[in-house]
Amino acid sequence: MSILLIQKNNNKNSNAFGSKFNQFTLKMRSLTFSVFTMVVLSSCANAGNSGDSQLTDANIAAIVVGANNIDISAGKIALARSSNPEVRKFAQTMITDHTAVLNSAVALVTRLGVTPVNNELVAVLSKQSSEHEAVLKTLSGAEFDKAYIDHEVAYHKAVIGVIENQLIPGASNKELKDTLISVLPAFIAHLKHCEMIQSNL
Amino acid sequence: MFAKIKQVKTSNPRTLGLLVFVASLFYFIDVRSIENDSHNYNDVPDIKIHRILISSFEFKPEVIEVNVGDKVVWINKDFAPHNISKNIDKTSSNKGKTETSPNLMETEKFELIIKQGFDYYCGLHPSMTGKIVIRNNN
Repeated sequence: MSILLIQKNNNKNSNAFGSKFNQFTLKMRSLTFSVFTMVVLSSCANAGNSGDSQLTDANIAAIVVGANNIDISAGKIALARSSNPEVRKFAQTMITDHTAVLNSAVALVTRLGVTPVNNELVAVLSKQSSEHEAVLKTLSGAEFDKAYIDHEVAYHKAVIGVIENQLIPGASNKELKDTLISVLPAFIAHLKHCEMIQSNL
Repeated sequence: MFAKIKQVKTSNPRTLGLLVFVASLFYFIDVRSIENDSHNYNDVPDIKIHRILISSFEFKPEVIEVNVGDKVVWINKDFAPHNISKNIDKTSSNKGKTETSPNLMETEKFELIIKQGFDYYCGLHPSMTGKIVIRNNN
């Protein structure tokens, strides 16, 4: 037992600089994401307010489909790469819940005859997501867990802001508006869940 | 009528035996259900059923007061699955252990006869919490 402990400490010391450095770069990456996303989202919001690029229901449908797909995809990567039980449980919940939201959104827009139309925000979200996934696929262990969970926290904050400030006020169809209102508590519960995990990592 | 039974008896004793057996079953079922009814009414005085709705990712009501022996029924109204989980790590050997109901899909319910109060949460969404409190009757 004591030998194991010593070995563990040695490993810790020898990797101290490396892991601190990695943590720093990871923090910077997630910070960059948050700041960048917030700037883009708020600029979209301003554009919406000035009347230059009002969101149509078709845009909103595309954003909902895109945002859910992004989180399902990240969850699948986490199930493949993480061995932390809490992180895995969270990832499974993301896949289950966002698939349910996605299915009901697709069913609704199909019934309403709305074809999703991409806009600037969808493009930004999907570019961010592929860059993030590329980073995730290079990481493993505690580094992976931290990068995945930090990003989930920033992502859910950003998406909640978009739903509250842009999608709900912007939706013309009442059923679409009601659906957006009804999925908001799910996103808020997810945010609290990943913040709980983040504080234990 | 007698002639008919006699005829059955002579032609096929097994059929008559079966008839008697089936008739006796009805007799016993009848008596048993009456006995059960009187038993229930006498021995179970004041059991209440409490409903907790799971909707918009909250347990409603979050805190509920019940008597020991009452039944609590959780009903999921959300599109997402939820469950009822409680930590049972009172002793060090149980550290980190939890008890969890099956996952409830939309419209599904879970029932529990309450023996003691406890705090619980949704194992899939741990920010959702609730509490069962035993009513103080004194």
